[in-house]
Parts: sequence; structure tokens; C-alpha cells
Amino acid sequence: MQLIIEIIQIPFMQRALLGSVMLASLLGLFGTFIVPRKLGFMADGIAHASLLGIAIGILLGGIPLVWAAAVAVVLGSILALVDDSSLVTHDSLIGVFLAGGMSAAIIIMSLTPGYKPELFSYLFGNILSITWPDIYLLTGFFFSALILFKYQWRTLVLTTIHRELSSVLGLRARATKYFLFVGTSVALIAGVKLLGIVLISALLIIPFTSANQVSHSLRSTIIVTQLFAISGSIAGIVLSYIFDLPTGPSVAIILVATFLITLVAAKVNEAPIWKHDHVEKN
Amino acid sequence: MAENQSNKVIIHAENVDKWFGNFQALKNVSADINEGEVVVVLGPSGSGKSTFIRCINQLEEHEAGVIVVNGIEINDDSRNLQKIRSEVGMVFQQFNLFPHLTVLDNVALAPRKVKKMPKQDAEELAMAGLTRVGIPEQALKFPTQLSGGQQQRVAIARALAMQPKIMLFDEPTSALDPEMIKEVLDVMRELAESGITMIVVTHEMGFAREVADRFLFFSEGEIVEEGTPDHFFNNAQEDRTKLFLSQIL
Ligand SMILES: Nc1ncnc2c1ncn2[C@@H]1O[C@H](COP(=O)(O)OP(=O)(O)OP(=O)(O)O)[C@@H](O)[C@H]1O
Ligand SMILES: [Mg+2]
Repeated sequence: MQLIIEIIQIPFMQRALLGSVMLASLLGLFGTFIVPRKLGFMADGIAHASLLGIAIGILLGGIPLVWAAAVAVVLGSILALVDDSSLVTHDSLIGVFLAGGMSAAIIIMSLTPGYKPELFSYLFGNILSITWPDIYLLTGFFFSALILFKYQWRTLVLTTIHRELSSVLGLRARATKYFLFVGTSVALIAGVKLLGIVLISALLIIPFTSANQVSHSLRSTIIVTQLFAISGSIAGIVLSYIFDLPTGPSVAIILVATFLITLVAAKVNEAPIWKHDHVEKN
Repeated sequence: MAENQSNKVIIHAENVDKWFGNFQALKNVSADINEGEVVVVLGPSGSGKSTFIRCINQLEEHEAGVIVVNGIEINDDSRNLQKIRSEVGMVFQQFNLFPHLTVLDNVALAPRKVKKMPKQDAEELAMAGLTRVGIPEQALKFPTQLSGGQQQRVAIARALAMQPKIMLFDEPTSALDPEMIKEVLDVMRELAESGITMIVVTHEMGFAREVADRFLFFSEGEIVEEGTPDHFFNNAQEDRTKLFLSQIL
């Protein structure tokens, strides 16, 4: 208890915890709509490809994560634009992004003179380095995203649980799709400080996947996802401080542990409602 | 139900090809369907029946050929797609309803969200639809609280709520227990008599014979024979048709 009070009083821990709660909440929420679309791999692709933005930032100056976010917005828009039914499917496109972004980034960096110590923190995260301006920016993004979620909520839910039925009903989902893909991309980049490029997809994918094992209604899946994402992030940060471990991997490993526990706890004979993406054919 | 037919072609398909990877699911399929006509699509499993009707409301994109629905050509223009979707209702084999919405909300959803109808009007319309399919008293239940047959009747009401000109049915009774099939077919029969254009994939041959103006028989992605029910039952020409009928009857 004493220790907790001590931790809460450290300014960099305050920033880290505040930032991670917002990030966890946001990525958990986006994950709730991305994972059932079988686009979890998207997180990895976008995050890795955004290394290109970071390389450009290091080369040209400016804030690398802003460059990365710009790259993510472009890639997210392309994904939203390209219909999955066309010849190039989403997962192959994501594979191309990943390879293209990463290789271009590494080539650019090899051309940039000097040692680049910060590169490591982009790859694996360093939430303890988060600054107040970062927090202000994140807060702005957090609340804008929440407002958009509110407007897109119904269509998001309907198209996620039953894409085909939504199409048959004629529900218009274009704006929703852009919001989802671009929003997720930006959220991933925002999360790079917490988990790094390599691990950020964990926060998008694992809390929802775990929650979906143990909840059987729409509402409870969403709530449990938030619970897992936020508590996992806080626990990871606190434990990494206490035991002097790297923060990002600590958060990720706790998320993985949660997943394993829910896997065991899952009621196998009752199908979670959120799995209803009936892409299968009649 | 020939008395309902006009001579106006409402669905025109011409040389339609559909590929899934390197597998061709539809080969040069052509068909004209008149307004008010009831067409039953027959064929063995995997012959392209579902693919054909799914191309009509563009759940699948065709690679070659022309499909015109109610005067609107299916192409990349998303406004066309939107118009076609509002003219075409569809009932799948199962999972026709959103599990987290009540029956009433399921039926009122498209009028509200797509036609932007005020809530009260949409709900009145939905209640009228539920009455038409005989289950107004189930309005406030959730889909899982209904029997399979009742769910399919709700699905029909849900599709009708957009007042479509065309209804597509893809084996609407195949997932049902035998005792529930009749109640769904009764609703469909009534619908057929109302003059709406219908394309029905079904293996219920008694029903098909009774309501259909025309059969289309698919085999390996092609329409190999078409004609009236009488033609099929008494005078089928193709060996594949005869084999299929002998297996199903
Ligand atoms: N999304 C898809 N991807 C790959 N192949 C597909 C896809 N959908 C259908 N097919 C294939 O296309 C062929 C036609 O399928 P379709 O569903 O139209 O058959 P069907 O006549 O409706 O059969 P059933 O009576 O079993 O419903 C089948 O061989 C099927 O495996
Ligand atoms: Mg089929």
C-alpha cells in the first residue's frame, strides 16, 4: 500500500499511468471492432510500416511519431478504400505495407549519419518518457475518438456482428469504415510510446480476444475488454517499476497471461455473441 | 402465378461469369426475369445457386457480363448499389436477425437507418409486417427466444419492411426442423400471390411446383435447363436435370 502511494506521487508515473489508461481504453475499443473482422494482423502491419514515418522524422527533423501517424493515416485510408472483395485482399495488402514500410525505414536510417539511440524506444516503447505535451495531445485524440465512436456506434456494432446482413439491409458504412481503419491506425501509433512498434498490436488484439472468451453479451464483452486492457496496462507499469523490468514487455506479458487464464475459464459450449460475423455462405 | 406477371424485365443477367480464385462458380449465365415472376432455382450442391442470387444484390461481385436490376446496372458506382439494395430484399438460410436487437427493432432497423423514417412510423410499419407474417405478439422478444420458423418469418417481415420490388430467398427452410417448414412456406406462398418478384432457391419441390412460374436448373455454374414446373416434371430434356430430379423427388 505504501508502495502504491509512493508510486502515484512520482510525476513520471502519473503521466505514464494516465497515458496508458487512455491508450488501453482506446485500443481495447478499436480492437473490439477490428478483431472480429479478422484484421488483427493489421495492427502489426500498420505499426511496423510506420517505422518509415519515424525514420523520416529522424532524417528530416520534427516529431517522429507525428510522421509515423501521418504514414498510418495514409495506410489506414488505403485499407478503407480497398474493398476486401477485390483481387488484393486486406491481409496481403497489410503484408505489403509491412515489408515496404520496414525496409524503406531501415534503408533511410542506414543513410542517416550518427547513432540513433531513440530507435530502440520506438521499437519497444518507453512510457516513462511520456511528457505533459504528449498527454495533452493524447487527451485530445482520446476524446475526439470517443465522440466519433458515439456517432458511429450503431453502424459499427451492426457491421461487426453481421457484415452481410448489414449490406443486405443497405446500411451505409463507408464513413464508419474510414473511422475504424484510420482511427485504429492513429491509435496504434499513439500507443507506440507504451508498447513500442513490436508489441503494440497486443493491446489491440489480446484484451478483446480474452474478453470474448468469457463474456456472452455484447455489452459485457465491451466492458470486460476495457477492464482487461486498462488493468493489464496499469499492472504492467506498476510491476515493471517495482521489479525494475522493461515496461512494454511487462504490460504485454500480463495481457498474454490474462488471455491464458480466460482460455481456461472459457465456457466452451456457449458461443460468444460477438463471434457472429456471418461471412460464411448459405 | 402467371397472372401477376408483366412483360417488363426486372432482372436482366447476361453472360455473367463469377470466379472464386481460379474456380469458376458461374459460367456465362444469362436469364431474364419479369416483374411479378416467381422463379425457383434448382440444382445440386455447389452448382452456383447461391452465387447467382448473391450476384443479383452484389454480395458477390461478378467478373464479366451484365446484371441490370430494375433498370439499374450493377457496376462500381456505390450509388447504384445503394439503389439496388433498397429494391431487393433477401432472406438467408439462417442468421437473418441481429441477436442483440428485439424482433421489432430488427424489422424497423432498415426503414429507420436507411430510409430515415421517424421511429414511430418505422415501428408501425414493422408491426404491420409482423402481423402480415402472423407473429405480432413476438415483437418485443429477442431472436433467440423465437423458434427457427418464427425467426424466418421475422426475417421475411424484415426484408419486406423496405418495400422491395424483388425478394431473394436462399434456402430459407433448409435449416429448419420439419414441423416449422410449413409456416414459413405459407408466408412465402402468400407473398408469391401478392405479385412481388421472387427468386427462391429451395429443395421443397411441392412448394416449388405450386408457386413457381419457372424453374432454372443450375449445374456446375451453368443454367442447363429452364422451363415451367410442368416441363420439368413431365418433359425434362437434359440428363443432368433428370438425374437431379430423380434424386430429390
Ligand atoms: N467465397 C467463396 N470462396 C470460394 N469458393 C466459393 C465461395 N463461395 C462459393 N464458392 C464455391 O462456388 C461454388 C458454388 O457455390 P454456391 O454456394 O453458389 O453453391 P450452391 O449451388 O448454392 O450450393 P448449396 O446447395 O450447397 O448451397 C461451390 O463450389 C463453392 O465451393
Ligand atoms: Mg447455396
